[in-house]
This record gives sequence, structure tokens and C-alpha cells, in this order.
Amino acid sequence: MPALSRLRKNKSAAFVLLFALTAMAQFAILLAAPVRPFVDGFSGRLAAVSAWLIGAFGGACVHHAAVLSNPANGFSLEVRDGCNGVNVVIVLWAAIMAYPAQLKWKLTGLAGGLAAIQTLNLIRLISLFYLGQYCWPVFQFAHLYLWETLIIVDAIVVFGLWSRRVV
Amino acid sequence: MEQTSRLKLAPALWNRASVVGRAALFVPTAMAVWWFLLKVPSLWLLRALMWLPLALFVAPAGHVPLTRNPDTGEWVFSVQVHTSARDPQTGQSRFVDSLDVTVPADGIAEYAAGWFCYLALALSTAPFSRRAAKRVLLGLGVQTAVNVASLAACVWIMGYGSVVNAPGDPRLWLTKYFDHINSLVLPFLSPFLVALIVHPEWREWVGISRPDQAPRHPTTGPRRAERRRPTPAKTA
Repeated sequence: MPALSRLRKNKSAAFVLLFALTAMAQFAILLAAPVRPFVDGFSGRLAAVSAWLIGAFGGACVHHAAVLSNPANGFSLEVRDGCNGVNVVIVLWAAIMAYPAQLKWKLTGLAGGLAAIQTLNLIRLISLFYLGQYCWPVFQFAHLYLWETLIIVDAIVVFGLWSRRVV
Repeated sequence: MEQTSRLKLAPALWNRASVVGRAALFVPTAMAVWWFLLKVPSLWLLRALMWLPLALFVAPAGHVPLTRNPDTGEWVFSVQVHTSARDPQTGQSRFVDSLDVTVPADGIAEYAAGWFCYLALALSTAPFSRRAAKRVLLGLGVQTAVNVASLAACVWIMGYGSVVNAPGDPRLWLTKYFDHINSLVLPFLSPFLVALIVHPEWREWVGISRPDQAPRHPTTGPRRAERRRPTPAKTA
């Protein structure tokens, strides 16, 4: 057991190990067959909220399950794995769970992190809905790379601010 | 006069912005430069770097590990899977030694994006200096290893996954699981992980900088615990 004892002393290594294990366990849960309907339902809800927001600001958008479409020109966009922000939420949650903090702070971090990432994700979906209709080359870039990295930056900001509060 | 004040303004702005604030500006810029200007050269470099690892770990002996279709631009990988699987048409078990996996270049691009995202994160930590350059080179080396290993794993998973892609095969879920992490998470997260590993500024910002002490952050005043507790007297 000397390895375990060394690991307990080295808090940084323990954090990294716990982070990796927690993230892998959450990804396993995410891909488990009984959980898939909930994940797809969540993507559908994101599409519904996006459609509602677009409509509230005067845009034309309808949604069916996780598909957003513009009835005027037929453009549609599907919210799938990778677009629903769940991957980044899982990574952030793994970091919060692995970090040494009181349970109440962890629960606050989990809820706040989910809210922060999904808020930005809604802005992403709405921006992609318009970029896809009016600027296809930028849509590809924004969809595949720009928003993905910005949402990870968002997660790092949330984690950094949260870890300052729990010290 | 005006030029002198401008020169003074740049370091002042740099110091006022936090690491993450600079990253929020640099990362989108670097990604845009990559996507609109440097995607093709970066893919060429990735292909050159992939050759040896693919030949050693993924392709069957004696096969060309990677070719590029000049007409379509697709990358064609030779993958050794060396496994048996049920043929969905005949229902019989069949041994497959190797197969070709064809991927469009845009499907590979995410494994080259990490270099540019990492560079932006590295440049967010400190202005350019020789000492900083050594760290950046180390980080680029780690990022290159991650990109190459990740793409090799992706190719192997695609090849293996296409063989075990029969309903009810328990290996199918495992290939989906590792494919999800390797293609939807790792290419985007790895530059941030590399920056955290290589640059203490990033570790300090997220609060994991001191391994054997409570995490600390740069603060202007004394920390909460220090304010509450008087300093104990030194004992022999």
C-alpha cells in the first residue's frame, strides 16, 4: 500500500486521478442505453428553449424533438451529442467532484456549472441557427471549433471562480 | 510622445488582463487563423507525423499505413484489427485481419486544431521570452504526441468498430464509449489539459498549483484562514 499512501500525500496526483476516473464513469453513464432517452430528451429541451428564445425576439423558428428549423427557407439544425454541452458539463463536474471541498460547495458548483455552460450553449445554438442560414463557411468553423473551445474556456472560468470561493 | 505612451499602454493592458481573459481573446483568434489560413499545411504536417506511429502500431506489416486519394482528398488508412466477428448477412463468424478505413480530410482536422488552441493558451500566460519559449516547445511536443496518439486511436477504433458492428456484440458499446471520448472530447480538451500540465500560470488560475498545500490564488490581502488564526509561535 505505499503507492496509495503516497497518492494520499500528493494531493495534485490524487486530484488528477480522481478527475479522470470520475469523468470516465460519467461518460459511461452518458452512453448507457437506459440513460440515452434522457440525454436525447435533454437535447430536445435545449432545442425547445432555443426555438422559444428565437421566437421571443421576433425570429422564425420551429422545433421538432431536437431539430430546429426555419419554416421560411427550410434550414434545419439538429442538436446532437457534442452540441448539447453535456460533454463539457461532465468534464467540469468531474473537476468539481475531484476537488477537495465541502459537499455544499460541490453541490453549488455542480448546479452553477451546469447553468453557466448551458446558458452559453443556448447562445451557441441560436448563433449557429443564424450562421447556418446566412454564412455557411463561418457556420462550419463556429460549429466545429470556435464554440467548442469557448465553452471549455467558460468551464475553466467557472471552475477557477468556484475554486477561489471554496478555499 | 504619443508612441511612448502607446508602448507603455501595451504592457499595462497585458498586466491588467488575467490569463483566462487573454485566452478568451487569443483562442478564437488562433482557431480562426488556423481554419481560414493554415488548415491545409497543418493537415500536411499531421499526415507526415502520423506515418511512423501508424506503421508501427496500427497498420499490418508490409502495408502502406496511410495514403491520400488525390481525387477526393480523403485519407485512406490501413488498419490491422485481427479479430473475429459475426457477418450480419450470413450470420457466421468470420476472422478479419485488416481493412482500409477512408476518412475525409475535414473529419481529421480536429486532430490538428489542438496545436493552435494550445499555442493561444500558452501565449496567454506570458509575453514571449526565451524561458517561455522552452515551455511552449515542451507543450507543443506533448500536444503533438496527444494529436498523433489520438488520431491513431481514432483510426483503429473506426476499423475495429466497423468489424464488431453487429447488434448484440458487447464490444460495440466499448468502441462507442472510447470513440466518444477520443473524438468528441479529447481533441478539444487536450490543449487545455496540456496548458494546465506545462504552465504554472494556468494551474494557479484554476487553483491546483500547490500539490501538497491547500490550493491558493493570488490575492491582494491575507487569506481568510490567515486572518482568523493568529500566527503560532516558533518552537524548537
